[in-house]
Amino acid sequence: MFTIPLYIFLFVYLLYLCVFAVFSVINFYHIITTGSFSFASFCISFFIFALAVLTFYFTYSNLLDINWQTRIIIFNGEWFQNIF
Amino acid sequence: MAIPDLIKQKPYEKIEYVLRRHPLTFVPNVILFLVLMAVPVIVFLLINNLYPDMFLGDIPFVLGVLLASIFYLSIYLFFYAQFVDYYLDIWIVTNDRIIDTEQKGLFSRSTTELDLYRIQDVTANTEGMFKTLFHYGDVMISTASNNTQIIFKDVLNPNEIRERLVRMSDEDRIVHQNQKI
Repeated sequence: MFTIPLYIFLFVYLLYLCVFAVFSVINFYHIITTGSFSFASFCISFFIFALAVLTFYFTYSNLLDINWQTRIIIFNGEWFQNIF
Repeated sequence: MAIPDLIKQKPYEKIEYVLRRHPLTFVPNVILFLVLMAVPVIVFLLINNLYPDMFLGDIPFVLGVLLASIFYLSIYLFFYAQFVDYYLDIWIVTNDRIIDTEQKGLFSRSTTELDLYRIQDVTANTEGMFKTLFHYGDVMISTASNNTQIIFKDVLNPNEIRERLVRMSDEDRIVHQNQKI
């Protein structure tokens, strides 16, 4: 039987957050360096970052009481014992 | 950085237009964003109706929340990138030249510059119901050699811009002829 702990998925999620942060900063950097920082671009940037913060908050509040040590079965030999 | 720094404005230069695409051209992206935002909610309601016990366990619940979170963050990023792509296509017209900067995706950007006195043809093109109703369209500018062509895509009042460009080009040509003499 092959199992992995649940917190592995949390690490994958954190890795994705890093990718999200990097790409968001690149987008914002483009706006700044091309002389396009105006009221419209500020509103859109603020809207995106506010939504992102709300998403982080809801994700955090939903996953607060989770036992991250729970193990998930990835592969179990018994699944194939009675197939024939 | 401001527009004058971006184009390295010369002392005698005056910025006449800073043009961007009409905001209506961004509306399809907003609609797509709203539709995508509704997808996880619809999927959750469907699954919850068909399999009410599915999200009771820790594991499906955690995976569901993390997946939904990643999906939403991806939509934000996609929408933001679309906005940058739309907003960073800028056409700057001064009394001396035209600077066309186009953002192509996140990591590609092209800048073309054209002296006003080199302009040979200017064409304004408005095609379609929305463009006609909301007075936006393309302005195509080409030089005598036809090597350089700049297109102002989906800008407001293309015909007015065309007329102004022709007048400015004539004025600039006179200035350059006088300088030669």
